[in-house]
Amino acid sequence: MTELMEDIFNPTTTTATTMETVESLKKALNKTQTSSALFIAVTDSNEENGIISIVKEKEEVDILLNFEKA
Amino acid sequence: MNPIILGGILRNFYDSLDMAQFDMRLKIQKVVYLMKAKDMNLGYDFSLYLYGPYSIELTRDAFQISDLVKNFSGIDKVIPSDKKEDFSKFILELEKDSRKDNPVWLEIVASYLFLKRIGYESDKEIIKRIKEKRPDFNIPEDEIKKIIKEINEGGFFI
Repeated sequence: MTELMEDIFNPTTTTATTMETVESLKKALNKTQTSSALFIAVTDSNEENGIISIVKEKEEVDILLNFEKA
Repeated sequence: MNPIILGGILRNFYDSLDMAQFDMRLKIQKVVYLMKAKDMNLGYDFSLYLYGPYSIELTRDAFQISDLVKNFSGIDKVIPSDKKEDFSKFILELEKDSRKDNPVWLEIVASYLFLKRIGYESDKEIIKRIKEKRPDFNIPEDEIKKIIKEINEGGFFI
């Protein structure tokens, strides 16, 4: 689990960066009302895991592909 | 997704899959995200993290591949049967200038397309957001602009 998480977490993140990011995300998300996809902004200022921001996309329609050998 | 199918897709881009390497994990994330941005959706939901679009489910599946096989041995290449032409073009685009092996190019382009999709409009705003993603991001703005200009002019990813 630790290895999986290392791509995400960065303990050097600052609170200031977090708040600036949150504001810019909120601003951007307000523009998505007519988008075919929904996006959810999630923020977590937990110093322990160090996440600064996550914009999570959630597709309304998920069209998956079929596959064959090349 | 079935890790063997995922492996078969990734096999089109890479000859080995060393998940112990950060760069390899980053490249997989961005290539699969770029596929999604080109309407070749492998079924992963991505979120914007420090290095751009990231799917934890994809990381789990990729680790499963590397647990199952060593260096892709025994995994045949797989292509999306209803997107053959798009996928061929996609491979060529990523082979151009070895983009598929350039973590900076992949991070910037995937982040750019993600931010476009969520509603960022101006390149100026997007570049600012890309630079803010992580405190240690030190790619010169001119380089970011050059990559963005290149993909806008190329027309394939936009």
